[in-house]
Amino acid sequence: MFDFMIHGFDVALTPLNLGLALCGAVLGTFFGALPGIGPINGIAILMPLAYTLGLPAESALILLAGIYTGAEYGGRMSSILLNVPGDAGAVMTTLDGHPLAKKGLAGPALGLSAVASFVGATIAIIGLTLFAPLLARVAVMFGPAEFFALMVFAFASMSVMMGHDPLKTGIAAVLGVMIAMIGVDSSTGVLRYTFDMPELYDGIDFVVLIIGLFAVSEILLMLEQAARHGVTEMPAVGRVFVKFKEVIACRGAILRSGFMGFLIGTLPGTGASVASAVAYTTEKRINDRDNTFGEGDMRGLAAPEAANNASAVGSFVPLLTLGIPGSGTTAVLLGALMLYNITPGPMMFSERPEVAGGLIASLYIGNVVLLLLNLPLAGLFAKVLTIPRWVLVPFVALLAFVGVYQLHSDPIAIYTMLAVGVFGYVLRKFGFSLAPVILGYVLGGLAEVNLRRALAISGGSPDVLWASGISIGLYIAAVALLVAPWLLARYWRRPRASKAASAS
Amino acid sequence: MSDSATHNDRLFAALLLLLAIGFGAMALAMHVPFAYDPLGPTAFPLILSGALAVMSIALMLRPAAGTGLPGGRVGAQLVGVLIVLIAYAALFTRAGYLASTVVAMIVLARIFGATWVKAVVSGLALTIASYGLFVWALGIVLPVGSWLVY
Repeated sequence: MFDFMIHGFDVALTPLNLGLALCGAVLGTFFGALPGIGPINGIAILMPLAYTLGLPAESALILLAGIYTGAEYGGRMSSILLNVPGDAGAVMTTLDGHPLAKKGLAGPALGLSAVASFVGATIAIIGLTLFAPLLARVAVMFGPAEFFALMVFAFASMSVMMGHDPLKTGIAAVLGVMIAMIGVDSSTGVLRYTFDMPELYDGIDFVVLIIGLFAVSEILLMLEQAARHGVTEMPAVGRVFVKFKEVIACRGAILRSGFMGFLIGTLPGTGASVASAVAYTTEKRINDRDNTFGEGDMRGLAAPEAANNASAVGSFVPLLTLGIPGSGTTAVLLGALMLYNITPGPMMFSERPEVAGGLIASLYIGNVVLLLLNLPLAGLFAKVLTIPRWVLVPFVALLAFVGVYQLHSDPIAIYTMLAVGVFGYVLRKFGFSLAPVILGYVLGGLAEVNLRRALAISGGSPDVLWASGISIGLYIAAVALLVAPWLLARYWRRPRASKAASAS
Repeated sequence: MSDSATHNDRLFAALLLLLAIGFGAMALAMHVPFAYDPLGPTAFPLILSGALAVMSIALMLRPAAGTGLPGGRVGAQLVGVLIVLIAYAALFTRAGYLASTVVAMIVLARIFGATWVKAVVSGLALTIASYGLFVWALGIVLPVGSWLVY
């Protein structure tokens, strides 16, 4: 059953694809390290450019997967050196990472986080290799009713796990689904929410939506950060190394967090931010005997780093097997797959083994490349953090414009991108996160199609929705997820709030 | 949490409620000649409209941290950036990639705090380097400019 992996390594080890994995890793680390850009923006901006290279689908995916994992690596630099997390998943990294850097241990901190990320990602890639084909076999049995139940589960897990305010997460997700409603209804031809504008008949394009929501809103948001923070002092990096003894001291934290990160990553709708938070609080509960966590404890840095890289890989499980993204960033990757007319899902392992296998194999390779690249070159990448905003912002604007223009060759698409950007900016200013919007857009469209298909097959009887064991199990899991936080808060006394958490 | 922050959140929630009502009303107004499935194209939007209405009312009752839109200097800069981006979009196909990009890059750099010299140098460098990368290395077709070509 692992034939697809042999096939996959054949694909991934060709000189072209090895080169692309390396390119992706470098570009990803660079974009992930850019202050304020982070992984999701980096992929959104580079995706249309990767498309123009005219690569075969598996090569393009290898490039994008390299960018994805590279960006996760790069994202930790601003957390450790500047105390500015590149994205939500890197927040926990700042808690012990930045104190280490302030103690003059920036080099060892970067080194340790590279090793922890490598081990966490490796655990998760092995998990993906073993687990994905099994899940794909189960997923083949999914009909429209089961898919609808899966979407309900995904929305439940998203609202519980993503962001700190479930209500705002829910609103953001519904707004995303509403955006997905724009355009011609495929089964009846009825125009929905097009306001008689022919440009909207095909709906709002996924790439335009992503670049607008993330890149354009980021440009607008940076204006304010520039006014408030000004220039931040950066600690000297020095030589990036980590003592073997220090890694061994963190082995428990790294291994536990790697496993936990993978499991959390596989849940649809939950990403690196949840995984790293759970890993950090768990390690704190187990290990924090002398109150060193938050003051620059190596284990407090290793745990979230292992977990967020593991969850980044774990979120490939629902993407590759069920065709639903596990996180905001994999939603962007789903968009990339759709550009190549590949619909990920259970059949991908049997029908396009070169894509599924090649992608997983390239994750193994990319991960090694990243470790080798990051230990000696972290100091160089850290220089990226000092790029002034007056170079960074025009650069991002330029990439966004060219990216959208060359996909659509139409100025209307650029105006749409700008409008979406303003919408995203307003949402962020009012405390909404944008990942649920993009997940709502993807999952909501699928939910409607599957619900209507299921009811069309049954002739309108709603019994079909809970006719199978899989559906019932998913509904029960959804309810359990919604009730669990309330039960936990009630019966499981939380330890006293950490100093760092209450300060942020 | 200041009073103005919760006030902002309430205001935004009210706008969301209006959106929910409008979204639902448009769904009801859709003319559906036939549908192959029992739900048709309007049922799902109506569910969404209801969900958003309930959640926006909940947000009005329990407003959380929303900072609202910036005013003052940042607000003015924000309008400036938007004007530049819209003008860039308008000129992109008309004046062509090179001319529109140079101008947009220089003005953006100025808004983000560069001196004139730095803005002009970085604007020229970004434009020429990106043109080289896109056109010669990646083979992307960029607009020459409809004003320039007849």
